[in-house]
Amino acid sequence: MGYVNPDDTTFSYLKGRPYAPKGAVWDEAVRRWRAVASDPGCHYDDVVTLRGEDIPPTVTWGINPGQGISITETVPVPQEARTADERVSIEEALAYMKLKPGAPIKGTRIDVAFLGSCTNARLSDFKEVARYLKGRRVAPGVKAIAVPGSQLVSQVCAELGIDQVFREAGFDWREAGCSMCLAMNPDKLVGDQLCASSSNRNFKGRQGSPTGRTLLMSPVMVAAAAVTGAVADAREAGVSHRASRGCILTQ
Amino acid sequence: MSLQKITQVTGRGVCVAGNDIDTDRIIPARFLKCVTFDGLGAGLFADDRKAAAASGGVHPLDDPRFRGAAVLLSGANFGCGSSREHAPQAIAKSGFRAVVAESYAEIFFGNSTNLGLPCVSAAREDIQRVAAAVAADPGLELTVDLTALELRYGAGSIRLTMRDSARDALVNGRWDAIAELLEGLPAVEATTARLPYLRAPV
Repeated sequence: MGYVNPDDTTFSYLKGRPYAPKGAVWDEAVRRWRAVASDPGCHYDDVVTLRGEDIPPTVTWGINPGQGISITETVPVPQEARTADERVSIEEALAYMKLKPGAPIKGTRIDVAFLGSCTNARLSDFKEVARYLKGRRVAPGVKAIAVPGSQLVSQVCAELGIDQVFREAGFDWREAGCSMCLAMNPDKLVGDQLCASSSNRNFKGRQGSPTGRTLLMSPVMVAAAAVTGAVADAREAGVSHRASRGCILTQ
Repeated sequence: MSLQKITQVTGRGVCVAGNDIDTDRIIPARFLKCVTFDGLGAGLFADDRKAAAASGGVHPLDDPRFRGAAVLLSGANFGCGSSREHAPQAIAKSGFRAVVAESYAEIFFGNSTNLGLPCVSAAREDIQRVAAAVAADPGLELTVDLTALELRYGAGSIRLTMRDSARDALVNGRWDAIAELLEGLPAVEATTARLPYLRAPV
């Protein structure tokens, strides 16, 4: 179960948005929301501290979201599994993904780049990727599509000219929707195409082809893969994940 | 509330082996466009079944020996991935009335319980023992007993586990969580009035 205490960041995000309470009702709502936050000094059974800046861009290599490695690492080798179960699961994943055990994940050629899904196609994602894409082009032979996570994101992207940045870079700019996150519409992989995807599921057949292969990664990593035609480290191209978070796109 | 009390399920079994069987495999996304759940049984493991046939094999669910099975046997972390209710619906609509696996993904387990589809757990070697018995004699009758928490088959039996809240809900016919909430509406309102952060805005 995930839970994040409501705080000023939450409230400033919500304020003024469609369906958010307004006026006196807003103030009352904020009062109630603050009351559900954990008490200061409360006791937790366990405390885990993660430093986001210490986590390199992460890419999946397998057939469930847990099978991920950092961009600097190599595809696992079955013999190095800690348990028999893990070994079976690595072997099954490698056979499906057709990746070479022990090979660096960086440099793996891709066929499709999908920037979308409710998980990773927020306005902040598109702003970050647009900064990266300016002056860059999708590599020849890569099919790149961008699908806003909601109608509102789509609308604001259009107002800011972000859609145009994507089009000029060679992305197919689409209407908001699920698209290639789960392939209920005609956006599907074909055969065993390899897709760099900002969605959050990489199960067998998830992107519409029973043999299609998915590498999950962050939006800017998808863009870097689209531009280079292979899994790439977006940091090397001068765009830091963190530094660009939340900044405004300058036209 | 007059829901069926589910204390035991008796029927033949079939084993779909493997760990981490995700809901995309149980019911591929293209089947989610249905308006009702009625026809979902046809999509159960559709791509796995097609792939098995294409490679010259036969998926257990297409093996005539196991046709009409009511108890689905599987491995660990069954039902992981996408939280679609369609997964337990497809299993139930295919005629299964219980699942026996090593463990379940949380949301799948909850969805199944809310549909009155018991998901019981057992040790791997125990499930393998039952699966071997079923493979040797597909007509073998299995009884999943939620009261005794055991699965009886032929001359043997294995121990089952199930979270108390889910088991209580099933055996007492109280597995529809929304009906349960509605029935307890006065209590919900009394609690809401007592909690400062849930009081309606003034």
